[in-house]
Amino acid sequence: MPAGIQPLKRRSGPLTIRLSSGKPIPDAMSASQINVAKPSYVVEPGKLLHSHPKDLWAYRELFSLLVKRDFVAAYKQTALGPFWFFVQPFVASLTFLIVFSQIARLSTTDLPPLVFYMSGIIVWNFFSNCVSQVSYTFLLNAPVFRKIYFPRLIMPLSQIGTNVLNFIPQLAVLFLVIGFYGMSGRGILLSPWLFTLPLILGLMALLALGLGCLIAAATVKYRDLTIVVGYMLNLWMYGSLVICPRSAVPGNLSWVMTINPMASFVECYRSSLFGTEHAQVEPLLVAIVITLLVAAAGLACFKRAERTFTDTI
Amino acid sequence: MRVAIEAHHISKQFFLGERNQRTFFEDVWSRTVNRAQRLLQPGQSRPVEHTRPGFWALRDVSFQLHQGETLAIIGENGAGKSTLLKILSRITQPTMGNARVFGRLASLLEVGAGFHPEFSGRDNIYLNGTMLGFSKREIRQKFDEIVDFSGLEQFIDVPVKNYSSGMYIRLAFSVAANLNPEIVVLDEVIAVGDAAFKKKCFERIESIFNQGHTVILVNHEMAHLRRMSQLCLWLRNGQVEMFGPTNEVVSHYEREMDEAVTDSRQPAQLAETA
Repeated sequence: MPAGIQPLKRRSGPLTIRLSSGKPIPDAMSASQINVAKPSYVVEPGKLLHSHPKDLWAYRELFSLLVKRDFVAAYKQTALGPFWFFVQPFVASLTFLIVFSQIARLSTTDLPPLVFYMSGIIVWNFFSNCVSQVSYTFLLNAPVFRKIYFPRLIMPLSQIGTNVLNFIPQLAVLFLVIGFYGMSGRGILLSPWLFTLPLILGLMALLALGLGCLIAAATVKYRDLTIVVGYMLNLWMYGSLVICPRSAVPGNLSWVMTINPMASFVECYRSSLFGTEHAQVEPLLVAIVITLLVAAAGLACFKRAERTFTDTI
Repeated sequence: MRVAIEAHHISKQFFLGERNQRTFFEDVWSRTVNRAQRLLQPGQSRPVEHTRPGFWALRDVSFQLHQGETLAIIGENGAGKSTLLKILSRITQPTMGNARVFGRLASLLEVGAGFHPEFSGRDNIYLNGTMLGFSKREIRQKFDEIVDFSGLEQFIDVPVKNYSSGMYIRLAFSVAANLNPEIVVLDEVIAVGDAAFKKKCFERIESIFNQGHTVILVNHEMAHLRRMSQLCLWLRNGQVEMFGPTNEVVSHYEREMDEAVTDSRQPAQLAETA
């Protein structure tokens, strides 16, 4: 028997634990005074801060491994492998080209329709994949979350990271298409504002993270919300200047573009690429404010949900 | 001797029944009905939804564990053993009470939790290790030891989806046990491996213990417990039935289990007299 402990009491009366000195510890207070060292962590009701910034930083290597895992796993045991990066935007752009440009005759500014649609589709896919994957955080990771502790926010953050990685080769393909147009004599001028592209992507990612976290927190209670999210994201695209420039939107609908942060972001993104459109400042400011509010609300709800979700899902 | 874990009056309540089983519209409906009732009868302030049945999985569990001690948790199914482990490893929070943990704690609550089936054993060692809170550098240093201990050298680059469940558990246990966390928490996972590997695991636990690390484990094999752990916590219906040196607690426990088996006709009465 180890020195220091000599209990053995049956259920009657409170349990006392004795120290090696033989003195009983009467209550929690004095017990913690004996221990001068700071605990690595304390578990208590309402104080399980799973996603503390310091904690997140400590798990940065897990973040990068998860990003790598998801990036590689998506193409294991598939016929086309990484070619899916290119197939999907091409097929979607061709569809849009036929429906919106050839049949509906929507303007695409001075850009060739294929470039206009492709640039919009890849950035929308980035945003929409971020939102839907983040919103599945609790449902898909429940088995892991129930068995291992790590800051839960690492999971949604790594989803965003994976989508950034997926976006880069698609952007490269877009530049290839632009280069192809250049060789065939229809040169497309790139905008000098190209350096703002990462900033705009960051804003989109923040909005997606906030929104996804809100939905993820809500799915703890109502599981079918993710289905609604799929529909909403599909509809949302049509109001986000992916298929036409702001100039083609009728005046009585322009308020939709103002309150929709994604409309501003997509417009800014395209003007940072090409300069055939000019980003408008006021809608952009509104969009940034909305994004910050959504992100704050999303993270707050996520924190609340991560505390007890293992008991309910 | 320094304290590794202090648990003070930990209680955990689970809600059973209706909660979180209803749809959105049912929730909205019941809330509007409640509000309407309060509007119609303003004098009576009815407690809203206080009728939920709650189930206390743990009640007032306190114990203290010093560094280098091995604690076994025993008890029948549903006694709250796993819930206690989950609270200590930050998976879920207690309803009341608190626990202080001093040092890095690695928990192995289920075989291969966090393994990705498409990835090789090698990649999963890194993934699992970082999930447990270790840096890549630490894992790289211990990598050979982990592989060696698991005995899976030939299969280390095979995707783990092709592993047998025994191989799975070997890899998972090797990661958690060889990275030298200060505190190791083990649910009934070791029971999966074959006899030889089990023996190796128990030896490993003993050697972890000899290195001054702290171990908490749940196991049903009393013979192993007597050999491996000095301290034992017996839980019954979420409460501490007995806490003390393993030999004494286990003999009480076994005596009671034997009585329950021979006198299985009146189990309710037995529980009362116990």
